[in-house]
Parts: sequence; structure tokens; C-alpha cells
Amino acid sequence: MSELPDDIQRALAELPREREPDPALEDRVVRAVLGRRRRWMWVGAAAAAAALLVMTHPWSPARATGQTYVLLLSPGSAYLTPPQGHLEERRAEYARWADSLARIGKLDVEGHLEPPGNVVDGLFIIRAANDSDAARIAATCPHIKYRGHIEVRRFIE
Amino acid sequence: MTGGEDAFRTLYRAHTPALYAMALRLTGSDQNEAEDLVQETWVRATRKMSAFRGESALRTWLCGVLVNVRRERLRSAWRMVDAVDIELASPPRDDAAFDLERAIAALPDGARDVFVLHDVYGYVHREIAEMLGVVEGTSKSQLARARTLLRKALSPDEARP
Repeated sequence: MSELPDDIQRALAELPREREPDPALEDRVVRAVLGRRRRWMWVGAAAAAAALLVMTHPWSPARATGQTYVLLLSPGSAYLTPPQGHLEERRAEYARWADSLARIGKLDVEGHLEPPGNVVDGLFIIRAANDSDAARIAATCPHIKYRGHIEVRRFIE
Repeated sequence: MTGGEDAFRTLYRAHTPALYAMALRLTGSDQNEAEDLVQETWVRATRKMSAFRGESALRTWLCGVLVNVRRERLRSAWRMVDAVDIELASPPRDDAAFDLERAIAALPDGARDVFVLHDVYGYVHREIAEMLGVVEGTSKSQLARARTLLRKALSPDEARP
């Protein structure tokens, strides 16, 4: 195959590999990725972003020990919604659970979302030794007590 | 800001400059189209998260998503085989810093995509064929065509009979 002259090859090698786009693009992309009307797409996109960050970040503890799992919380049909005016109390209960995981080094990312209704949903990225450990941790979440649904996804690194 | 949004913005800032540079080259320096490509790439990437297995660097995977998005957007106008060669404008030879970017931008779409992926980003023909949905022979012929057009544009004296 015909080659390029040396001067063109050198110029090609020196082309910048990165270019900064218009700063306004960032908010546009964030809105496109995370600001969707359907909240479960919101959850999925946020989970994906958070998980990608955890998987690829150099300080990712998942690279050192255990594996990374994402817990996606959805209400499901049987979810027991909090009584009127008690949503914050319910959220605080979930936060305490997340804090308890963080204290033992099991929590990587806590992603609280703001749903339009009066249910609690969100995502958590945890570290667990294996699938069983992840399921065991998920089962301790208050979401289960309120008959919510938790999807546990393991990420392969 | 939520944990998810915060995480996404960190990812965005780490990888978007590389994606944008590639998008600019693939689109012939069309800034609006390049921004749209980057946006759609992130939307697809977050949706297709489960397809990323960590077998390649995240940036390589994102670049593959970007190329696929580009391919889909071009599908109606995709001409890998029978594109009509266009005559490249020859920059003045005494211009010491000849505009390589401009010459790349002036290449026909199919030839430019292969050239950018192969000669700028170092993908091999097998990978390019897979990314663009063509056979390897097409990738090789488009690369040869792109190089011929570039030589003609950047070294007009040499191209002259």
C-alpha cells in the first residue's frame, strides 16, 4: 500500500489527540443523558455513569478487593409507600443504611435520585466478595422491608 | 447534584476532549456535527453500559461507540465504494505549516473515516472493518485512496506528471 511522505507522517503523529469542545456542551450532554423524563432511564443512566467511573477510576477500590455491584432500587408493584409527610423520614432510613455500609468499606457510590412521586428509589454501588455477598447486602436494605425491588448487577472488569 | 450526575460529569470531562477531537476529524471539522456526535455517543454509552466488559480501555470503547454513531448518521449517504473523488484544494507550497487538518477534512467521507481511524488513531484494518461494517478490502482501498488524495493535496509538485 502506498505510504505517505515522511513529513506528512510526522505531521500526522503530531496532530493533537484532544480538543476542548464548547463548555456549554457538557450541560447539554448531561441533560441528554440524565435529564430524561422517564425516571427509570434516569436511574439506569446514572447507574451506568457511576459504575463506569468506579470501574475505570485509578483509585477504584474494586480493583483491589472484591467486585463491584450496582443495586438498582425500584418500587415494584408491592412497594409500601411512606405515609403522607413521611418521605424524608423514609429517605433518612435509607441513608442510615448506606452510612452503615460506608463505615465497613462496602459502599462506593451513593446516588440518591429525586423521584416525582412519593416513593424512594435510587442506586447504590457497593463492593462485595461475590454474588452471594452482594445479595446478602442488598437484602439488608430497608427497601426490601418495604417490599421494593432491588436489581443487583455485577460488573465484569 | 446527585452522585450519579457527579460521576457522569467526571467521566465526561476525562474523555470528551479525545472524543471531540476524533469527532471533529471524522466530520471534516464540522463543529456542530461533532458536538452532536459526542452527545449521542455519551447517550449510547450510558445505555450500553452492560456491553462494556473492560476488555479494552474505556476510551477505546467510547471511540468505537462514536464511530458507530457516526456510521448510523451517515447511513443514508454512506458511500464506501463508489464515492466520487473530489479534487482537494492545494495549499500554497511555501506555506511552511501546511494545513493537514484541512486536507483531512476535505477527504470524501468514507476515505476520511478510514484514514483517520488508521493513520491518526492507529486502528488496524480488521478493527476498522468491524467498526464501519465493511470488508477489510474496502478499508484498505479507502486508505490507499485517502493517502493518494492527501499526497496530491499536500505535495502538488510531486503529484504533477
